[in-house]
Amino acid sequence: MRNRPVYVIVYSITICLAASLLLAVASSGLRETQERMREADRKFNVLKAFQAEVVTADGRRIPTETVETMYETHVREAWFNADGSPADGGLQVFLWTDDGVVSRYAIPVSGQGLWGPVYGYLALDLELKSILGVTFYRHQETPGLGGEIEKDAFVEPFRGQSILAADGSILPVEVVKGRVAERYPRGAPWIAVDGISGATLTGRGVSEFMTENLKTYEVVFQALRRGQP
Amino acid sequence: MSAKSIKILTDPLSENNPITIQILGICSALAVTVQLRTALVMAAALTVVTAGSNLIISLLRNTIPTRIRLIVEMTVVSTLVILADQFLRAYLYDISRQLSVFVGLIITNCIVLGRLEAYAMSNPPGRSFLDGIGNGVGYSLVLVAVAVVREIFGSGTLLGARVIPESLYAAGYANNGLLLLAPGAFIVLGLLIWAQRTVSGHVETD
Repeated sequence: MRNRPVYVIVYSITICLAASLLLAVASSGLRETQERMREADRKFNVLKAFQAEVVTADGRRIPTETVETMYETHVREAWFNADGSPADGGLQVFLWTDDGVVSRYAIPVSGQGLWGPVYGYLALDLELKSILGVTFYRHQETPGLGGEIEKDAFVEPFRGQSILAADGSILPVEVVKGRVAERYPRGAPWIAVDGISGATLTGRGVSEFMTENLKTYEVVFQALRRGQP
Repeated sequence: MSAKSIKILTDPLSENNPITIQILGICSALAVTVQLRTALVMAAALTVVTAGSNLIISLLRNTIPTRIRLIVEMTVVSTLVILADQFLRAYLYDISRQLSVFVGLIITNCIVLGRLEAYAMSNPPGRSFLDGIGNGVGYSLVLVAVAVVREIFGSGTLLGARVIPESLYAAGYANNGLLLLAPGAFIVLGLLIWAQRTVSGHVETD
């Protein structure tokens, strides 16, 4: 009986339907919690780019509620048009405030990696000149290779680099194939970090989209600088 | 519980340990044991999947058409693995990011399919469930043993808390970086297999 063709077909369909139903129910039931976790992780990364204290002394993340409170207290979101004028949507800028006084800025950076979109944040100091930190928090790159972009070791070298050339124009970003010190023994002419071996294409994607993102925000940064007291 | 049931539960802990005796599930044992925390979560996930799929397949064992047996087994295991992954993403988000693909790869872990074929297909549900738990725990023991060694001697911490005092570092002690990489894991695992087989007296009969 159980090897008759009709039985096999009906059985297969039943198993598939049962599995799909179970997964659909679980997925919709868990969706809200997962969204909240993803949003908390996004906020965590904004804070991390700002170099806020989001990791304890022994390397553990601070609890979700603390992340949300810290974000609520210190981070403001603002939007601008491409020409630098304030808007209700468009180019997003995060402002870090201490008691209402702005001291740091951050922008979302995103673009195409190797296998899919990469999302991160880049934080700058008050003059919008020196990089405070970079984080990448969502991507589809290969774990161990392109996926290493989310590790501290990869983003740490961004810190302290200037985004402005001597003439005030925005510099491009390069994830060097190999080490910066070997490629540019006399210092890199622009924003450069060591590449990840085995992840050249991811690095290339990161270089391209970060350069483009910075270029897009150039006018916004100028407007922000002008608007400062 | 009957003596037989207890034996089903305890055999895989040492006598018939899935990793050290059956030599199954090695790959993930290497990958997730860099830290004890990730090893524990992985071990729990695998135990749940093995026990759950053993139970379900055992309940269905007399109804599954022979020609789609493996496919049905894989469907059941995949569904459980996806459920486990979804739960981790909702409740243990940052551990799930650290485990990244390895939870999804539980479906490829030979222990799961191995026990389905070797036990669940020919045994009643209660016993199959126990067999799943036993093998899951046996796997967990090995994972924990390897992870403890790797985390303590590779990073000087255990569950994130520092256990090797600063004074030792100042005196010249350094973390063993090799233990954080796959070759180091292989070595620890090999030594563990050797030790466990010596203690249990297992001899390869070919």
